[in-house]
Amino acid sequence: MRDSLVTLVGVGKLYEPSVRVLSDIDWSVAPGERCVVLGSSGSGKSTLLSILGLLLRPSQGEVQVEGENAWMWPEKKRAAWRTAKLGYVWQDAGLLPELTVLENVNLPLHIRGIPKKKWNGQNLLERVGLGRRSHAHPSELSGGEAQRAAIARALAGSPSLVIADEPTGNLQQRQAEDICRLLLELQEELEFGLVVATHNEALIKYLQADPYWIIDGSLSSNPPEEAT
Amino acid sequence: MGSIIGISAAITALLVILSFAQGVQDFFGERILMLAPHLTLEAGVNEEITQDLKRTILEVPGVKAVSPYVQFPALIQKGLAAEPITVKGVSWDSELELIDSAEILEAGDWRQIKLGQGAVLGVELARSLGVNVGDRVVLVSPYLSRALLVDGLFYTGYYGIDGSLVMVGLEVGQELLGTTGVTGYGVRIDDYTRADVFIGPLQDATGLWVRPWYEREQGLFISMAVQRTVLVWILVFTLLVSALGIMNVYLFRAWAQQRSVGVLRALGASPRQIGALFLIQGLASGFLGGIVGVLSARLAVWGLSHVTIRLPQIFYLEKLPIAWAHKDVWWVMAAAVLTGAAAVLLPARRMTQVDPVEVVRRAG
Repeated sequence: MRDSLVTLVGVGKLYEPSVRVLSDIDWSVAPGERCVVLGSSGSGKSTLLSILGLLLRPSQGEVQVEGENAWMWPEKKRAAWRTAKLGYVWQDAGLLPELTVLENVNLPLHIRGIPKKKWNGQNLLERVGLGRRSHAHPSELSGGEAQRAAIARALAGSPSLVIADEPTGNLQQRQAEDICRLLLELQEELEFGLVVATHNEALIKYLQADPYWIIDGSLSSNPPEEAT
Repeated sequence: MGSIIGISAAITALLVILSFAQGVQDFFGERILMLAPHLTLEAGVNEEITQDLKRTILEVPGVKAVSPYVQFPALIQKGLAAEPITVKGVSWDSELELIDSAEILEAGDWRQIKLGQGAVLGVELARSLGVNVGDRVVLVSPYLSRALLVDGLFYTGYYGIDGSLVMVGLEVGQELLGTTGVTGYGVRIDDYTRADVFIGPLQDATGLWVRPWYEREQGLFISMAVQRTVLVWILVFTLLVSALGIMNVYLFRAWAQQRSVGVLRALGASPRQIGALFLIQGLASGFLGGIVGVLSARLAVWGLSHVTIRLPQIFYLEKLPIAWAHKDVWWVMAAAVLTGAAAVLLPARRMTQVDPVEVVRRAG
């Protein structure tokens, strides 16, 4: 248990009034591990990732971090853990329109109160191929560029775990493949844990990740046909 | 920007009105003090003082000068014209230590006046009777009437004094009142704004009824204070309306920025940090609005103080009585900053309640 970044023990989620999305999930993500969570739209992928990222409290079960039930921690400690250990990538990039690309990438470091001289946003932007667009605003970027910037932001705090929720959902297949290759390269280089949720099974080969399927609220390492 | 303009407009109006109130108060205060002592000591209504208390009064620390007087109502006649007046009989040598002699004399000669045989009239009273220096008038008291030459005319700029006060020598006054005593003493101190501090010590020293200068014109000063208070409240409500406008702007902004706030929360910003972002914006709006408001008001007050106006003669005003209300700047600034902060409290609270999960779910 202590070797994993996050461990879910018997986790379930019930949305009011009585919509059960997830049930009895036992799962752990180890440092440096790559996982893909697959499932149709509305299957509970985002809910699972929110629980994994300590954003959403499960209705049942425990989310264990560093050997403790993270939901027994005060909110401040959970927020601090999220800021220090997690990087997020969302489907629509989630860049703040008021800030430049570089400011967006440095934002998690700013929130953590890290001194400016230690901000590595520009290096990360260069690493994802956006070195020359650092002073542009998000509205000036293409979908693929915005997603690259979002990946750079996710990596800004040198996280142990990156959670990417449909990071290619708004992209053409070609761009989606590029983003997956970039994620794979960065993961191999920086060795963070990576969990990607997608409904596009074709991307598994580009991510070279262990696939998991959400079927009727349960998590399975077998595809739906085999699971049934 | 809109919120800054809203606050600055309210602050400008508030400070200009306060400056008007201050200007009017200063104007009347200065005018009244041209002829009125800082404090008066009297035995009571229709009572006279037969003992010489001058030395006793001068022994009270802080007292700079003392002058005895007799004061009583009378009539002044010139031909067929007659006016009700207040006669004040003074010992000119000591009285001139109390009042600003150089400024008040409009016509006449102090050397002649100091002889104490004639009368010195307010210019408005002289105008209504049609008299000038050297003319003869008759003062009629309950005891006797006496003809006097007009030795001088004074001008304070306060109609209440210039239109109804006649000053004569102390002996003439005592003769008209049929007494050898006095009705009171006038006292001058260093700083007239501290007149109330001397009430107790003077009362203890003499046993007389001590009144500060402003109490003699209490009605005037009370009405000015009431007007000032009402205006301040009206403008405080204006500020409140500005605050509601700003709150609406921020509520809309909060609604429009929910997505960004959700992202910030998911990136690790605490609800307190998010709330602080809004609160800082509100405080900054209040502070900047306050600064702009104070500067605009200062400019407006400067401009208005140079405007020549035409008002009925009773006001004696050629310029608007406006004096920069510098003592009020600090609390007005504080009110501006508080308004800005209060306006964003509700939006800030709403922002702290944004659920970051929604951001992830909407994207998923």
